[in-house]
Amino acid sequence: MPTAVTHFKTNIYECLEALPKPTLDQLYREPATCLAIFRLLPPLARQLVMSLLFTQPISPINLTQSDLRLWVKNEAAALAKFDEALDKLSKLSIMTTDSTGYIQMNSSFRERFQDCLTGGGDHQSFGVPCERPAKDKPDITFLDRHAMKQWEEILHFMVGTESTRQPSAAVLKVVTRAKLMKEGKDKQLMITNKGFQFLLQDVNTQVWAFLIQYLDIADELLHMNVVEVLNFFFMLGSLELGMDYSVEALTPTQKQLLDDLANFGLAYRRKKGSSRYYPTRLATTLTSGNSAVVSSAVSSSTSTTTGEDGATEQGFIIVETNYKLYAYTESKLQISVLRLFCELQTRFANMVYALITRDSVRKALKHGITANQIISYLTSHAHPQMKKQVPLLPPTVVDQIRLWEMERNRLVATECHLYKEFRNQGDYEMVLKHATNLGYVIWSNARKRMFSVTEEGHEHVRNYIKKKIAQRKTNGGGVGEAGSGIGTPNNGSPSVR
Amino acid sequence: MSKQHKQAEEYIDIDDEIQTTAQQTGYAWEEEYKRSWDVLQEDEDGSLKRTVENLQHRMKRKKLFRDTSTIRRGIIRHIFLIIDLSEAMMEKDLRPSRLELTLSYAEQFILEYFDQNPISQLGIIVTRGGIAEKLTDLTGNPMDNIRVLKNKKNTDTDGEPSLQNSLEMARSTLIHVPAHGSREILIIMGSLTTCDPGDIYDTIDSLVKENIRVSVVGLAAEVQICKHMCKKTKGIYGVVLNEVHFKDLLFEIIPPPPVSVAQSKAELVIMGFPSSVTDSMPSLCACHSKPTTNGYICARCNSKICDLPTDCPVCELTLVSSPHLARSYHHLFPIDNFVEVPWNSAFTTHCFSCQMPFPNATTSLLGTRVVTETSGRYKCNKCNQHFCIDCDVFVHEVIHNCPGCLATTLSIK
Amino acid sequence: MSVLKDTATVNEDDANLLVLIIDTNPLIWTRSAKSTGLSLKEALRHLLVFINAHLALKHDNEVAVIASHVDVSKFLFPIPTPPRLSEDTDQVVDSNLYQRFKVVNDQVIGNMKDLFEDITTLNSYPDKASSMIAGALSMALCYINRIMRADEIGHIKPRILIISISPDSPYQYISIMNCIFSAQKLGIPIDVCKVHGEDTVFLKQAAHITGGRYLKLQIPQGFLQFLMITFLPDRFTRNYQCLPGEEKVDFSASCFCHKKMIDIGYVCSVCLSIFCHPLEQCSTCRTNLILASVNECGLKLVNGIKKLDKAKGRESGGST
Repeated sequence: MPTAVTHFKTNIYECLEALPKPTLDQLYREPATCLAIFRLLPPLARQLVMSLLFTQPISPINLTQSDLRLWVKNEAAALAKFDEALDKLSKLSIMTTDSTGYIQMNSSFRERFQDCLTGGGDHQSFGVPCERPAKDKPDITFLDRHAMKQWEEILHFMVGTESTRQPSAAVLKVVTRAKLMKEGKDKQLMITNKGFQFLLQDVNTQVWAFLIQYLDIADELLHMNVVEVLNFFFMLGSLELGMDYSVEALTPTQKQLLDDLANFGLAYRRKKGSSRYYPTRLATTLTSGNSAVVSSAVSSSTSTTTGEDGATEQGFIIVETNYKLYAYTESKLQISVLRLFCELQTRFANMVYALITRDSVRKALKHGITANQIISYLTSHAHPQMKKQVPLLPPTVVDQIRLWEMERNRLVATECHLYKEFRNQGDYEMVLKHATNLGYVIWSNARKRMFSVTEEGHEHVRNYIKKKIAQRKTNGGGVGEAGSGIGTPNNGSPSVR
Repeated sequence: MSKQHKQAEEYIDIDDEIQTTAQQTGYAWEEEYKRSWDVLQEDEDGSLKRTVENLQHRMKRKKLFRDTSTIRRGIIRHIFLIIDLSEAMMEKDLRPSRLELTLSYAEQFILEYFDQNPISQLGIIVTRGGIAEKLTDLTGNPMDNIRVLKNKKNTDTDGEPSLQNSLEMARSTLIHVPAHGSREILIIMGSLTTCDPGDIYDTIDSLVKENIRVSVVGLAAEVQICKHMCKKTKGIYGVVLNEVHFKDLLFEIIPPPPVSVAQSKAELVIMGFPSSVTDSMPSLCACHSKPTTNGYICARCNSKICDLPTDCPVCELTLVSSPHLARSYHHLFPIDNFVEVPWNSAFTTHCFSCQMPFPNATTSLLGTRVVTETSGRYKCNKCNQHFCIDCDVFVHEVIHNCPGCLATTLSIK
Repeated sequence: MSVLKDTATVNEDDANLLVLIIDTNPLIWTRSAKSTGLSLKEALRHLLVFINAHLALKHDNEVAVIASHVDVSKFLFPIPTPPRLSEDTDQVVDSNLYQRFKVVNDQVIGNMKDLFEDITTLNSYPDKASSMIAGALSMALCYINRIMRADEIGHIKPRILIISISPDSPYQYISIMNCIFSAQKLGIPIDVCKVHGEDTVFLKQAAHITGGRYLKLQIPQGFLQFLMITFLPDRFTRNYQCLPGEEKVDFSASCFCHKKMIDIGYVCSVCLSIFCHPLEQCSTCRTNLILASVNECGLKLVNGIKKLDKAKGRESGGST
């Protein structure tokens, strides 16, 4: 699970980091966005922001980086964390060092985040609720089902399960653009290796990956404002599950967005023109990074929100040390995901029994799925019963999956240049020695008088030989037919180690 | 102590329950045969959940019940832990083996003992190959004791144990203990035999004379001489059923034992309350002769020691800090057991201290056949507040404060 | 050895449970408002922002608030029965405030109001100077125990913060100490922020024994700032932070008879009362006492040494 969370974080993080400063400044005008981005920061960075957030009103103090450094322990680990925190803060232009060396907090971020904590301002960034109570309000189970139905439809489409409707245009665009699927020979969309990898992620990561791709096309194809789109995502993340919110308060862009998001299963509207919308669990857990909650809804349609954060009900896979895998699921989707790397043996009413074998894992590896992805999938979908044991997965299985992956990596191809047909041993050794000293030699064979050098060494070695030949020529025919070259470089043949 | 509680919660052995009741009435074979599955009864939905909950409830309660009358307890204790290291300890009937389990429990025991009896002392004696060997003398430092147990050389097994030799060795040290402290011996015995040089009854008589209390935890089967010895010296004798029960028996020794007025003389003990020092330059401590910067200065002889509580290595003054004394107060002022609240007076909606909602009276009464036997509420007789079972256990085992009495003015008035 | 699974090690991903105990003794708050300008109302505003900041740090951070009043200690949040929708806060959802903040803030304010309305007879309290801090601590520990039990994977790391204004109440000593030791056993740090008045010895010990932080508020206007810097960091972040100046904690004992600070005292072996001079009969438990013989020898020895020391001191004093 931790891996999944970090994965998601880096993803949205990279996306935010890539944004230009003015765009970030615009983003920080919404308190909801400030809160969501704040939560993405590493712990020490969050603490730094909090410590400095309210300093200004009392006395404007100017702090330099070294002043701040006094707050952390003088230990390598702590200082590394501190530097990482400052780095992230400056990349997101929340805290920057100005020309005088003082640390400055982004003023709009400061104000809006203060508003966020104190409840000041009139920004309506946490969703405007409907004034009139809804007639027949959908309950949370219904919303969960709806979200899962919509989202699984997309995944089913990717896997190619029969009897799935053609998804909406936006979905198709995202899928093809993210190269999760591509057109096959008969103009039919086929799932790619990347698509397989996508399927193994937990739902939260999937949703984010999807939304980030969506952000790309929103910018280019639909001509939406990136800031507005992001703000809307972050706002959705701060809404309350099971509440109804008013559509009227949204901007036209956001209304357009809402239609697409309803399609993905992030929101629910009774009918298209309805004046209210309900965020689903997929949306409300967006910024929490809490993948578990969402996957619980996936695994069992009956799952309710009994636990405080739903953490008690999640995961359905039990792996035994003998490579047997039991998955308590009825979802066709999960079963087809399992099929990617397991041999299904028997299917029961609520459970599937499968084997992890060398062949099945190799098949997955051939699709470009890595051993780590398989392992993190098994970890994040482990049955609560499994979570009680330490380590969570049987080490034999984990090691074996890694070993199977390593089996495939026995051969590494390296581009190189082969030198052969040296006239005599002396010449061969002279050139070889020179190349070895420079560290370019990959392989050599004295009996055949051949050796190969790396790509970057080629130029150098060739010049050296040319120089030697030229020297000999000037020295006058001492070495007979030296003119025809000491050795012949044979370009571009890869040597295999 | 509570971890074992946790384990017990997950592992309910109904046979166990029956066994304990059988013990009270007579020999097991004279009993009518009881089928453990008869205890389990399905409710109308065909689920066992309720019955299991009831069983859990009962178990929690059973553990809880304690004597709370304010009696004099021997707060300042001196105990020798005698560990059997005979061949019999290599048996694997307790997992992973008798020896390994004993050592790991002994370590937990020592920590818990010093936690609850901070100004007490403990020493370790092992017996193997017919002789007794003193690993540590009586000391107030838990880490010293644990360190010797960690040493593999000290825990090799060999031959037969000698009960008499080890008892005599413990006795020879305990008789010098000042009269205000209790004198106790705890034996963990895996062997069914002992290899003694003389008449063990003489030893037992002298133990009785010296007011030394001997408790034995047997790992194999009941042994007559142990039972006799414990009875004579007013100790506890128990034979383990399984791993969890082993720990229960061992940890029963931890709360300070009650002492009869005649048995112990009340004394005024001189104690030092050392001040802590932090030097910029390290200096040698008197206890381990190691350079340290932090430490405490003995109030009497000014020697520097690392840790409290301890006896000053130079002038033998008992050194404690005031919180150490405070740590023992809860033994002196125990809180009363809470009483179960019957359904007809169960009006409260939630636990007073943890805010956990209680099961609702009306809904459960509807269930005709199997209702939860208890209302899940427990009442403190002083403040009349209601608590849930978990808080009840927690309050009596860990906090030793009644939140209700402290949080309302009723009790103060 | 604890009910709680491994509370000592903290991971970056762990959620934090903050149990905030607010000392609401109205008499002392009035005094504080007069002398420093920090009234309860003002302090509460700061505290609410602080609670929001805590909740903002992580999506799964939890908070509980307990009031330690003069005659009762009570949960302000969470309470099992949700309050009736009060008239002044008509909206359940406020588009300008994050929903979780709003729920907490409304409940805390509402329950605090109720607390003060209930109390009508201030004069009848037995001990006006103090508040029910031991009761509040016990409740906090019970609550933490409950949350930890529910959390099977040991994901939630608890801590307690006490906003203290009342002075120590001597008859709460044993119960407070019991709470401190339970907290220590369970690995729960107790932070203490002393807002007004003299340092409290009990709570200082609490912070020291449990590995929490103790701070006496120097600038009342900067209350929030102090909270943010000193008490907001979660247990993971604290691993990397410098502690605010560690103060020396007084562990010396005072005798029961004259309340005199002593280095060497006489302790009754039955009830552990401390006296500064030998007694025939223990004044607490009425047992007849004999002075332990071994130590008496030691005492004589030491008295001898002390005399020697004095003599030496005189000599050296004379020579310089």
